Amino acid sequence: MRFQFKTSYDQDIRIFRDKVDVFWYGLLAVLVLILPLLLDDYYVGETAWVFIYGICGVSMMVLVGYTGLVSLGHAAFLGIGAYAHAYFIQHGMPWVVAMVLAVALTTASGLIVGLPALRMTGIYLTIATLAFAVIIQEVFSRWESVTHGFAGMKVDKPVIFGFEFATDQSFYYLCLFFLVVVLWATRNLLRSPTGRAWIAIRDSEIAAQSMGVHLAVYKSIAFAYSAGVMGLAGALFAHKIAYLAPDIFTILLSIQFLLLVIVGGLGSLHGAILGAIFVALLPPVIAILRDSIPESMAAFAAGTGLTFVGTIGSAVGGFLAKPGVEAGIFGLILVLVILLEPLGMYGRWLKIKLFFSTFPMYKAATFKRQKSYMRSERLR
Amino acid sequence: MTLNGLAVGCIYGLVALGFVLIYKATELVNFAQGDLLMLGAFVAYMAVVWWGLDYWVGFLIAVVAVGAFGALLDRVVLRQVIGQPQFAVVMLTIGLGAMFRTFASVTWGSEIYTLPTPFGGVWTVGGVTLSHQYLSIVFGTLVLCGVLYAFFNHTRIGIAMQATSQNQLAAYYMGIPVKMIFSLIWAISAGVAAAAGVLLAPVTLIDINMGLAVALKAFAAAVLGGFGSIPGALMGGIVIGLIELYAGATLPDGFKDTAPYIVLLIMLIVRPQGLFGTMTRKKV
Amino acid sequence: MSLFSADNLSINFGGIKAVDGVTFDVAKGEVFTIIGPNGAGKTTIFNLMSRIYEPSGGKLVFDGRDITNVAPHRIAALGIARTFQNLELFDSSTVLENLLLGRHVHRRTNLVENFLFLPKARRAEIEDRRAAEEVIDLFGLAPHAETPIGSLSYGLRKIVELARALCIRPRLLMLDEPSSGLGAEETETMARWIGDLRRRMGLAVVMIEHDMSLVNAVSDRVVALNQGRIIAEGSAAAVQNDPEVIRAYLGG
Repeated sequence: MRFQFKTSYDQDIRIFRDKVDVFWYGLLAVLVLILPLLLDDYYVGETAWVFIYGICGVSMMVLVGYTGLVSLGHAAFLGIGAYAHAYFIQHGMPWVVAMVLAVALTTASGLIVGLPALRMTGIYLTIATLAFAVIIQEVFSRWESVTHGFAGMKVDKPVIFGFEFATDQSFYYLCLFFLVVVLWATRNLLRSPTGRAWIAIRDSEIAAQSMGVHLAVYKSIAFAYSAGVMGLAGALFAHKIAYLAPDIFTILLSIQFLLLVIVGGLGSLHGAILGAIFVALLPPVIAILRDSIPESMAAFAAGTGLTFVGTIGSAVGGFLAKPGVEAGIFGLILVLVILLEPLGMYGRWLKIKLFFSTFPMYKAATFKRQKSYMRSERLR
Repeated sequence: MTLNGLAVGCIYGLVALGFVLIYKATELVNFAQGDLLMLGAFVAYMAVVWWGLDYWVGFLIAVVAVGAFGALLDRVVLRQVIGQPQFAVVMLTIGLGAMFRTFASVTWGSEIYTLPTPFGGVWTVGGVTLSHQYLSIVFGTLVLCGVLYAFFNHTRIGIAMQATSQNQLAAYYMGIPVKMIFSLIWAISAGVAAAAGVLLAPVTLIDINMGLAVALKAFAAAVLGGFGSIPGALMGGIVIGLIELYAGATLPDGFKDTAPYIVLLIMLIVRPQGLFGTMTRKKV
Repeated sequence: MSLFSADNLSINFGGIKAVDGVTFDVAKGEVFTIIGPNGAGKTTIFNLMSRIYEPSGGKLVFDGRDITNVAPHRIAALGIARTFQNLELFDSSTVLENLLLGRHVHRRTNLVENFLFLPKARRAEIEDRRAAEEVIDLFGLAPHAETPIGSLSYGLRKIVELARALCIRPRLLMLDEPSSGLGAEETETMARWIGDLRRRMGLAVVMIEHDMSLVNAVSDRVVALNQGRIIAEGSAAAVQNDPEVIRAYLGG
């Protein structure tokens, strides 16, 4: 087991606790920086998706994972950011200005949704965000002078200070830059009174209030910040997808964002990134499996003469090729994670780490949660 | 035309009733309710079109099959998550819903289907035409509600269910098998959803996404009715159905589908406890 | 002069008078205890004092100021801290993080400073940690500072909650059943803390308690509550021997 010797208060506050942390994160940074040199263009493009989803994940994590407010409407914020950014660019604004305006606009819309949402708790809030998202999606399809409705809206490659991010590689670095900025800023908020107030609201509103936390103010900040970050992701999303249409920003996308934070592990920024890797890479992985399973199993069948293997292979491939299967696989994974690993991927990683660091002494009970059968959110 | 709104409203009311039943008993919100409705419609379709059975037999098979499936869901999946945060359970049901849709699209295909019904005709009363289809929905809802009302108020099990909803622990001490009651409640709400699906099938046609929109509007209905009240849920459903209809007829395009949500949002902001409900607060 | 007073405080829940015309006052450095059978309205009085409930009548005064209409989150900043009957800790956080939240009312950085983590924010964080550390030392919680609440024993959690309330640096401390769920030894420790706090910091304490040994050990004054009304007031011994109090407990 590795001990961290505390020598100053400052050590608690630093982003990286000690030299070992610095080493591992440094290694990760180097790896991420040279990755585009090692991979095909296709995979560089897919990794840029990971970064964009990572920003979305941070946005969701702040609201859902840290403040405990569950939103089923974040696809709307992504859409607002994307459309606003694209609109401002089309009207000749410099990229940076368009970006800032898009983020400001989503932050403001987050605040507008957040303010009435303060009166609601739990499931009601979730429903309100859902209703909001449905309405916004309708606005996207009807406000044709801005969004071009179902005809769609083309978005060009980003041009910043005269430099065009035309290649997959350059766009990769652009997304990486914004992801790092967002992570840094969010970490700052989390290690300061603001973040602690969020966590307090999540764990016990009533205690937070009696400790002097103004619930409405901190919930609004969480809502606005989360929406703003989502808006930023939306701007990058617009460039990445290159063509905006209202039916991109559906409830299913909002559900995917929630899936992201749950699978990644609620209440940790690591979880947001792990979840993003999962959500961004699952569809391409399914696509690859769809083609490779029948092929490889057919090859195996041809080699060994076991024809039933080939039949199974083509059946699996056929199943994966059916429309709507991807959503079902997401659903299945969501169900399994909630049933088997409610702490998500990051929680699983912590357990593995603890297992090896305390090796013969590992206690499964460390992570055991108290089960309460009578927990009620009603006043009886 | 009001009849159409009333009929669609009845469907919303029935689905909302399913939400409320489960919520009252277990404090879970079942987002897969709409997908159970979809399953019900497909099962009836399969029975009537594939197997060539009578409409009423198909209806019965759908209700029983989906009801049994609901009880199974409770036993196998939802019992595992009692005591977990509410939102984890909500996500669980969302995941289940996605799986049901995939199951339906793999089993029955992702096209749009029509369920043949015996309600083809119309009545003309005082110059107003009333289609049997819509009448069948309203009538079916009334019958279902009557049966449920009688069940809850005049049978031992129904009264045990009411007791369980009010206080699980006390009910358990009184010798009521609480777990079985939960399964039964799931069975009833799933069965009601399936019935709603079969009734709705001739109006909206059957496809794998038919449940989603209905569930969202039914949710609005449940909230409108205060989320704890069964008559409230039905009333809420009818209100939403009528709002949708008149918004579609009188307001510009786009309001037909969004009007229920706008009403829902206003409702949540102004009167979060619903029209018939009471506000609850955590006790310290 | 009294530090805190409640004047004719009342609240109704759906026609039931949960608290009915309760009047009392608490002086600086005093331990004031409320006893009474279950459902007498004790915790309701606490919830009224911390402004979670809206009184249907009466007045609350703290330090010469009318606080009947002050927003609930402002109560802590005025110098009133509380604990909860069934613990309301931030379960996923560590002991230290819980205590740091007690420093929320003393924060001096704004959102932008937090966002960019300017040097001022860093200094404020260090200052907060130093202050929390003092309370940790006071209660001997140092070995558990980095432990998540979830893996602490119930007795320790009670102490953490008390410590968190103290991080606010209150002048009035409200303890809702500090001994509930504790063993005899832990209750004794709790009694020592309460005595200490009053002596060393001059805190006024309002306490709800069932354990009469703790009540006798620390209370200056005791009131007995039944069905939302004060039925007896005086020294611990006098109140316990009051015939009406005995009748209330026996359910007469």
